[in-house]
Amino acid sequence: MVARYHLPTLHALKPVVRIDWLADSDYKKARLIGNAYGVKPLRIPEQASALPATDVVLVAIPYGARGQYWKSLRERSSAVYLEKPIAQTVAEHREMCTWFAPHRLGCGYQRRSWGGTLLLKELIETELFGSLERIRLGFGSPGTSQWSGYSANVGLAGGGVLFEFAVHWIDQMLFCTSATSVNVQGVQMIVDEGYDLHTEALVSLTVKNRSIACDMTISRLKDTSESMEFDFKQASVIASYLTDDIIVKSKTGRCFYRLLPDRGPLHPKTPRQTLHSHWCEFLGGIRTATINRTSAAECTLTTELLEALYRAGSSES
Amino acid sequence: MARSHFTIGVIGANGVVGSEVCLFLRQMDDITPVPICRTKISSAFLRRAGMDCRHGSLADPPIARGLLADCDLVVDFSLPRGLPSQFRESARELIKSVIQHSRRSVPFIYISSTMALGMPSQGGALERYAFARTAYGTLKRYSERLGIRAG
Repeated sequence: MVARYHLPTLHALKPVVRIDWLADSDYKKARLIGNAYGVKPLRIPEQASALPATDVVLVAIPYGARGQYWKSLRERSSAVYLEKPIAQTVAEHREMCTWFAPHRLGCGYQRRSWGGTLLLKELIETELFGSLERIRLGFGSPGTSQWSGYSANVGLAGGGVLFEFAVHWIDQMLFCTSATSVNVQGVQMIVDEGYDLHTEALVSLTVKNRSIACDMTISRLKDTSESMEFDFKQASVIASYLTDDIIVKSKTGRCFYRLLPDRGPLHPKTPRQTLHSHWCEFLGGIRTATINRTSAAECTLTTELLEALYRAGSSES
Repeated sequence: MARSHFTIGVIGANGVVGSEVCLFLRQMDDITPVPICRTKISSAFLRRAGMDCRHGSLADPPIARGLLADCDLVVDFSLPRGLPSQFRESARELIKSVIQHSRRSVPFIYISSTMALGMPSQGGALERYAFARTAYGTLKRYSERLGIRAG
């Protein structure tokens, strides 16, 4: 994620941003990536306090390896951009938020900054197709090459498909609906070697003081729709993860239209454009001391839903 | 005398194509596909589908010998992760290890991609183009060359 996305994105933010160093427990890897991007490589020290001072630290080490660094990170004056996933429990999430000024702890749920998400948010707010009635979220398919490196170590990854992969889409759904609370009504979870591989859940979201049902299927064991489908009173709107388009489907299911904002093409569209926009928003928040969609304090509900799904899933299985 | 039964080692069996191929080969009476995955979690889907998977790193010689011991054919669907230089290093290690640790004269098949041909994104004749066009295609071409040289 750092080598393929953060570094090129941050380079594109020059001269506003200068990447001072990058640190990894594998110094060979740090050197390789550092040389590729012209950034000083460092071996990651025992404590973050031993790292040279910077205005911002991007924390992209796995969830399970972060614990030892928090104490020294909170003692530094740096703002922190934390890669997903953030926390396993709401208590943990809220505690982290108390360690930093709200605008200085950002979180890497960058799908919030995707042009399609912002368009969906507008559709839901303005009720262009009538009121929102139901949501279906599908993520994953059998077969994956993603479980390599730290992802294959549950102690480091912190969880399976839900926690490590689907969290982006869960957060995107909660963000664009502006949900204010969640209630898990039923869960079937399949866990293997400590990893959740398959989760089917019925979740109720509170949106504009109304309860909206959401069917979730998150799986590495079966094919899913790989999309988020919002049923409005007059039409359905589909956000596909595979094409990154927003499609409007008529109630009859016979007519499909691609939806674009009136201001021009969907933007940001690509993953790097989206990450660029998210970083700009985070840095803008630091500059103006205001919280925004990148702030960790603004995504507590995502952690709350994950925690509730795991709790309900473990009691079911 | 012609062999009546083949054991096929499938490297990278946890990927989308690798797992489909394993399930397909399982339908054949005279073939036993052996999915080979680095970690137990990555083989979860195939194990749940009732397949006997083998786990371990082919970069480790004793483990590689054990994983490939009885294979009559080895097929490689793997796609190393990381920067291009890391991909190249992993691909070199993997192909070298498979050739070294398989039984003598066991055929090795590297599964490439049409992307290695350098097909234009807007389509075009299915033929080999001068440039691979994408990083993925370039790396697949690199592994093809490695496989041919190692053989």
